[in-house]
Amino acid sequence: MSAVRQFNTRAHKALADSQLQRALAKARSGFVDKRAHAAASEPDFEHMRDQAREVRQRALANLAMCLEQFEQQVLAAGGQVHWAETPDDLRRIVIDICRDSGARAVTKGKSMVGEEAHLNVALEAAGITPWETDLGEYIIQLAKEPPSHIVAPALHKTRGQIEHLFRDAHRLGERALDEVSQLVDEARAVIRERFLNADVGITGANMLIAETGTAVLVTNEGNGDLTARLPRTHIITTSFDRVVPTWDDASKIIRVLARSATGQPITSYTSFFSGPRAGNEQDGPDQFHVVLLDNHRSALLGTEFETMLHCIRCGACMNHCPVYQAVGGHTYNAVYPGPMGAVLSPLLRGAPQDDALPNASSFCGRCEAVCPVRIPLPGLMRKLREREQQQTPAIASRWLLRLHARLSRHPALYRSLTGWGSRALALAAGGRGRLRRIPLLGGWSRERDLPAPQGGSFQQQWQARKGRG
Amino acid sequence: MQSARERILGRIRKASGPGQAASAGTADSQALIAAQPAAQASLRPIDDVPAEFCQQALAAGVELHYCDELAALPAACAKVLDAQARLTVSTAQALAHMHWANSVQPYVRGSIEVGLVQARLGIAETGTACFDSRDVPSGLLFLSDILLVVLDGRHLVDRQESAWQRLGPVGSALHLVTGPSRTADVEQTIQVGAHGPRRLVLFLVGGGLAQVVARHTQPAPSLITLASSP
Repeated sequence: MSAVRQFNTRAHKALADSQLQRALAKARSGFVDKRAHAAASEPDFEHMRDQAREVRQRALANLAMCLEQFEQQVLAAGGQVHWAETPDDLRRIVIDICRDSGARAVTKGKSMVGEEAHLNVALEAAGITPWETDLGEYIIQLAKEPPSHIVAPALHKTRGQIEHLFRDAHRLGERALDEVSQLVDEARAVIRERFLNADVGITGANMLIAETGTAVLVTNEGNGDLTARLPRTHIITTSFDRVVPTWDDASKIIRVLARSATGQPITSYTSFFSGPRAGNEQDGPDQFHVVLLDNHRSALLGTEFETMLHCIRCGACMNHCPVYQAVGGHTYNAVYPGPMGAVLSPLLRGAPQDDALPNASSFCGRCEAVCPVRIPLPGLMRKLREREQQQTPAIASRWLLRLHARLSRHPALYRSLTGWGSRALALAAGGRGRLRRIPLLGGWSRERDLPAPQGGSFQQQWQARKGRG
Repeated sequence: MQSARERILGRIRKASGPGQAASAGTADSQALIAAQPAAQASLRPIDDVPAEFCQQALAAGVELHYCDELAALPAACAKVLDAQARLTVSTAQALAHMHWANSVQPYVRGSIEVGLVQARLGIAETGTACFDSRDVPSGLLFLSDILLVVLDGRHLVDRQESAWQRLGPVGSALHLVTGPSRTADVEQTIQVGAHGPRRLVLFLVGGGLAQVVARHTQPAPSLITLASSP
């Protein structure tokens, strides 16, 4: 089955899934309205977006230097930096650190790079139990599903579905779990014990600051901090493109990140981690590791796709995408869904099924309009489509387009054929003025009628009017 | 054989051209990293820093109070807590030597009823409190059910950039805390108390901010009182 047809099959299933549609409807109004309110109530918001974009451009323009500086500072603080070319390398590095720490259970904060490397599967295979601590990640871990959104991983789940998952996993007896507050309290109690017992904590990073070798972590729940600061070992799984030069630069990103993602001026917690616990500190890890993943990102530098590395992972593009809103994240069958995923997934994974993703767009342009760092997402999708078209053999619709292109270079032939064509269509429509079914275009005409041409072609009418004028 | 580090950095340098030649730690790289484009205009100035701080903190769900001096703090804390609630006070700070109405527990990683901590700075643009891991154990900030934050009214800055300048070097963690812990992972409904504190009570101490805090925390005067004023 072709990639496009597979996508369409999943999309049809998603559209018919009433639970999913109910969950998506809630997300649609929530995210979009909150961002609109945040943007409207901050007079400097457009200015903030320009500043954030400038930071991303400057960071990438000085990338090697920023990374060397970052590494030097982490080492000076007593931490370690590991370089992973592939997801496989990242898995191996993380498992080796866990084994050296004698870890049997690890707490995990949300990390998209961890998802990209399918870290949980590898940890389990190595006999290490991964405990997800972000509520959304915890829910999908129980459901054994991948995330459907980069900020709200369990966005596709309804309250009722979450209650069922908790009842299956927690042995709750008769306790009520009808309210959102009861669900959150239930997860809080279970996960609290895990924070206190984990040997290793694994988190992602929203940014890396070169000047001091600092990892920045942004959360609302506080799970990232408990994951980072209570276990003896803290591992940060991230990609090298997260680096920014200075703390002032990090502030420019922080200002647009939460506003674009959840409509908050800032998240409840923004934490800056620089190395292991110092002498007189009571909390903090003894070991501090940063794992930097490449996974084809370095191949994007200096190419027409470089701006994709500006992405700060706020999720605004998918929140505002009519395709994502209709079919949800799982339809994309990729770690990164929505418009940013439609560009990033084919570039990072390059699997044949990813060819469909840049085509899953109406090119309405809302993703680019809301992107805090103004990534030209439709333009990048268009380039990926062109690339795909050059690589794949032509199909019937492209032959038709080529035929049309030839024909339009011969005006006389074109005119006479369209004249005959419109007369034939009018005849086929009979007295109804419209066609119910069109041969070879069954898919198009299943949902709509084609109005039959009334009278002559545009050019014939133009000629006639000129004669009268 | 080259290491993964060299291969990745090699690809990055090759893609980005000659500008990448400078090696880390040299004066060149320091200057380049710190270089902010001159044309970049700054954000609008925050004229009334305490007022902005109060407004933003309240919007983030912070319960805000004011004390003229540190000596008034125990009485203010007693007012917002149950008499039975047990207090855990961060030991590295001045608070450790004060007397409290509630019983005081030492800090142990586990469930903490009420944490009492002192913030380094407040950032007005978002109503945020900054904590240095050298002053406050990270766990106390996140394991407490209720977090009481003490913040000197003279330690308020307008924006993050000013905070970085004023803080100087910090410990292995700097935590910015803005309101209580929350999640929207169940049907996008905001629920307070995800993993961290369910309540965040902030005491601004000193700095002559009594009126500013009162103006922001008390209900707005009704139309009738407005009409009766000259």
